[in-house]
Amino acid sequence: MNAVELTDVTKTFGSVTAVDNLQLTVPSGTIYGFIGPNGSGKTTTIRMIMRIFYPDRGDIRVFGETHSDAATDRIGYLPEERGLYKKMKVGDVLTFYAQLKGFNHPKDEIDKWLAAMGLADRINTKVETMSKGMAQKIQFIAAVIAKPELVILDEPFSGLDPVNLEVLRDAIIDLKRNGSTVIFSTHDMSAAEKMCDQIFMIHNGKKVLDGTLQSIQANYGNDTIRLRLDDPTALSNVNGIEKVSNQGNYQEVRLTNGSDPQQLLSELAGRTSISLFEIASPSLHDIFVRIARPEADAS
Amino acid sequence: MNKVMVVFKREYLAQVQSKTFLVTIVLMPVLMGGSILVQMLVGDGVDTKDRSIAIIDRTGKLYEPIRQLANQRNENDITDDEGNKVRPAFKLTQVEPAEDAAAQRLELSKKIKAKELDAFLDIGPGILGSAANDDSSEEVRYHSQSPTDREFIGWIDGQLRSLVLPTRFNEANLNAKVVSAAIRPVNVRNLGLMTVDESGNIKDAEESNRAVAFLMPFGFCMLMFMAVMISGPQMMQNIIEEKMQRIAEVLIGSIPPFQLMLGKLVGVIAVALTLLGIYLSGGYFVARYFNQADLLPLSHVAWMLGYGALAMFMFGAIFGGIGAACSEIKDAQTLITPVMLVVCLPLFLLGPIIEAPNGPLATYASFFPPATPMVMIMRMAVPPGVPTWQPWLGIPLVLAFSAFCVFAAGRVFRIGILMQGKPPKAGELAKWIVKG
Repeated sequence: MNAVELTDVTKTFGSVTAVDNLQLTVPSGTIYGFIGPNGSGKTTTIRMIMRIFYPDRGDIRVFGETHSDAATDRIGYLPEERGLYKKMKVGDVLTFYAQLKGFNHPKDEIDKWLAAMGLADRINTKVETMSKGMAQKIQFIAAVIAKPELVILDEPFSGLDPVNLEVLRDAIIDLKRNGSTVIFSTHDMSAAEKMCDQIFMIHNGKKVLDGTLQSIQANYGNDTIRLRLDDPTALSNVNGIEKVSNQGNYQEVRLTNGSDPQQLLSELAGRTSISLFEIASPSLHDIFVRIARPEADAS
Repeated sequence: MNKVMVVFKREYLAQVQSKTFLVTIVLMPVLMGGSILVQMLVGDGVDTKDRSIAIIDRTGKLYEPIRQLANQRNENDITDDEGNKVRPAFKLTQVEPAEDAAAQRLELSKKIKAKELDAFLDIGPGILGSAANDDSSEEVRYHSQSPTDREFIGWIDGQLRSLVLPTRFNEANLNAKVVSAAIRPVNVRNLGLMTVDESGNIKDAEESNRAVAFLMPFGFCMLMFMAVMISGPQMMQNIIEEKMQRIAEVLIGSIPPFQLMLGKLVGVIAVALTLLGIYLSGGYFVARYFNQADLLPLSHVAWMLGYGALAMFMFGAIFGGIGAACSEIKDAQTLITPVMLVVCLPLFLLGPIIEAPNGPLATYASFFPPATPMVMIMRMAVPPGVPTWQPWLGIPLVLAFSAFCVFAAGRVFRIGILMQGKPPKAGELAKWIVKG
């Protein structure tokens, strides 16, 4: 059973094609990551799944149904642009959102989630007095409070500090463990790498990546070497290197097509001492940049 | 729980529990009570300081009787039952007429300026004659610095008439009693219809009170206008705020826009009705206190509340749609203007409708849905009222139009809610409504 299926979906705004002939299948029970540069069509795709926008062409099914309205109690939604009623108390806001989804007595669930987010003592706090991070966690709870089968989160991590980010990641993984399907869009590549069963990348409205991290990386081969050298300048004038990028603690080298890593190792060993030499697949970050910024990447 | 109910509950509680609402409720009676208190403190606004008035009696016959009448008044008519002084006493002094009347008047005017006198009365010598001369000898001149103070001039007017007329009749050899009876005014009474009571006796019609015939429909119309003006802009503001605070997209992920609109509308209307209810019952108790409660027939109040709710529903939906189309309050101003004109339309037609409540203009206007609630209620309040079927037919008309408004506002909401920046033009709005 697939949670979401998009077939040949196209959406234009005036002369701009925001989403172009998109195919996408999100299996139930998975965590699906949407990545892509700003303005690539992530939010439009999400809004079409939510039926906030209607596609110009194509077919969108959620749980097998071409439902005609955004409001379905089986989906929890955290939009990119999100706000809360500032004058309301946390407990009242969450009760309101739960009841809007048809979950009439959410008291226990609210207590459970507030505790999980470290906000147990905030139930009677007015929203307007909370910090941005706290409000964002409340918004997340509002999206998932009614135990939806499908959770769609548009950039849930933006603006969170590392501690809160960790809390939210754990919560999302818990959702999957409890049987929900999760779709989220993010610019945080390491979060996507760590959490997602499958990753989907959209660029200029077109799908450019779709699959598990391994399958995506396999397409790019083992052309990446991570190196830590005593003398980083030893990399200059070595044959078979397409690009060197400095990652701070180490350097990442992309080999030209057909170059042999062993040959690089022996050549470098003659020049300087090596404390790290790792043959790796390119990171998602690297792949993202290669797709989204090919000209900059080539320089 | 139904989603409409969830939205309604939140909307209602958020408003009713807000400080603004409480302040409004408390402030109104305070203002009203305050004005009553002020009136009680100042009595009916009469300055009870005694008036000292000089009288030049050029007839030589009138001063004495005037002085006697003034004394009588000072003794009997200037205190209330408890002996408190409620009107000023008149202290009269006689001034002998001088040759040069103008110089004498100037002299007395100077005294008034110097606060030695409040006013003076100059009675012309020819006032008692039965034949009219039409010259200044028949003038009675009252000079004072305060033309709006009617205490003395109001009193002396009647007294002089009663003193002068019999003298004139006598001089003309007319019987004063006969003439007075012959020139008594003709009285036309404005009455309602004759009725029959339970025991079959014919009951006399009641006097029609022109003020009530006008005030009732006017008051009803104003109350309804107020209700629309409380609820409509409130609805618009709520929606714009939800847009500005980025709450709207979360909401339409949970509830269809039509239901969301409906819930919000019912909430805002309930708030306005709560307020109206409080004021109306306050007004009713005040009316009872002054024994005027039966001026307000209960059936009219029921119709007014019903039509009032419909009017708020209809205009609330329109204002809500405008709110959904705009991202800032100030953007909404241009779109509001035509709506305001429609809201005010019945007020412009107030005069013609009250004069001919069953004329073609009033009848047609009362079946034009945006104007129906106010016009119908006005027509109903003016006797003899309207045919029974008309207000009942008005209800489905207004309901159908309101349903369309809510539907259209829902569509505008669904599209407009994600729009930022410039508000759409009327044409674009129409496209949103038609295409969805």
